[in-house]
Amino acid sequence: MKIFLSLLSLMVLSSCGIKDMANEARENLRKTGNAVHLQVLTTALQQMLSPVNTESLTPPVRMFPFGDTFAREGTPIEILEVYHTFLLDVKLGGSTNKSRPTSRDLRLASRKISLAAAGVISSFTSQDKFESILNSQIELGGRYEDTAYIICLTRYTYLRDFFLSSIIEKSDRVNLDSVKKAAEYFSQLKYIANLSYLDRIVLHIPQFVVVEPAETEVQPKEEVLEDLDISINPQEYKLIARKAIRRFERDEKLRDLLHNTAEGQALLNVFQ
Amino acid sequence: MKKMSLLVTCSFFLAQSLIASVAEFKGAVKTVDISGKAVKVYSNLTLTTANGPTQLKLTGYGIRQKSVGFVKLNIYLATSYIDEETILSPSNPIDSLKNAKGRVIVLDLLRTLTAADIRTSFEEALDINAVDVNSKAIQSIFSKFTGDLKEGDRILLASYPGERSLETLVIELPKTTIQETANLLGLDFWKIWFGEPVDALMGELKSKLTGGSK
Repeated sequence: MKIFLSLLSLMVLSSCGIKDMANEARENLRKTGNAVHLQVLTTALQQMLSPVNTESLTPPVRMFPFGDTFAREGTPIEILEVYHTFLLDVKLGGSTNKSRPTSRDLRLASRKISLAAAGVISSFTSQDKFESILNSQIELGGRYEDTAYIICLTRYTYLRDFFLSSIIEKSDRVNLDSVKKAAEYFSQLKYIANLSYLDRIVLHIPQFVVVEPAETEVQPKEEVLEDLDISINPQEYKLIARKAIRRFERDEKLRDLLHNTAEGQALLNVFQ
Repeated sequence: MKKMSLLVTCSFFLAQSLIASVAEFKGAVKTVDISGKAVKVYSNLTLTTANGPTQLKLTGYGIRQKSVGFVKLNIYLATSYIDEETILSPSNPIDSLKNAKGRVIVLDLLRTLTAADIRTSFEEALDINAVDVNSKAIQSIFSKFTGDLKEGDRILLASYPGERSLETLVIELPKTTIQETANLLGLDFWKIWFGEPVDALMGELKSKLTGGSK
């Protein structure tokens, strides 16, 4: 009996040790996982904002891979918080030049980079995460409700001007695979254009757009700054759809595929 | 020897007719400086067509800008001319252009574009103005739009009436000239700039072309 009790107590004691070790290992794994997660986010942000990747902003293609990584790795709330920070910089950054700000003003350049970063992150965010942001902030009234509206606008603008246009305006050849991608971008655009609160999606940024000197006789030969005011035209996506179909149908082989196969018809229906 | 001389003369006139533009600029000249790029704008031009020469006057000029990802880009300087008898109505320019004896639009490119870029933007503007972009004449025109256009290149569009409602449209590109005749073809193309604007910035250009800048 004594031996049995000794063995039992030994087993209990050793199992407690194993349990502790397992918990510790799990905690270490969690910490490591978190550290890797944060490292991926930090590196992606650092790279996205590095001078070499922010030289050209029309379009900011060098920021794209890092924006993509950030948006894939980040949770909806992490994406939203970083986006909010960029937006604060864009809107409240102002100018360090107390006289007349010009494009030579480095603050303006920095604000433009922040807006580009916001555009890149919002456009690479998956539809699921995007909808989660809208649900938590707009439907349920979250801390970043104002920011969530602007996310819609930058996402819409970037999807339209860079992602979709790269297929329907800039590509020499369009095939079924690119039509699939265009359909995905278009669905995302259409989703935003049909939001019930579209009238609240408005962006106003004071002193932001540099106006290049136009006619010498009319304007002083000096750059001036204008406010940026942007909203979404609810009918625009219909024009974009027609433009896309015109582009697809320009290619005879693709036109046949789209009209004479079930897959093609389904893709065309996305643009109807 | 006579045959040789005749051949040389014919070749000269043929070459000249291939190179010569339908429009000859004249009158007061104004140099427009856009970000260091100088573009000349003339107050008048002579449009020479099958109908004979027609004198045209400047109606206005302005920069076509496009907003891409929150950045406004200068695309081209557009300069518009119509025959001297026609009075362009700023409130309803398309109606007032219906009976014009000659119309010319000059586009001086401020950035490099592909022919596809131009085709797409023209198609979009025609579409919003309910013009059938799949019509035979318009498809024929677009099929001839090829190659790239560099900053500094010029596109000249001229249109003039023929019999009944037929109109001839001539598009002079740096390396080629496109010509088509169809029902109200010229007026349809003028809707790109004077009809329903494709965006707010095109609306600003429209007001300049209808007299906002002279």
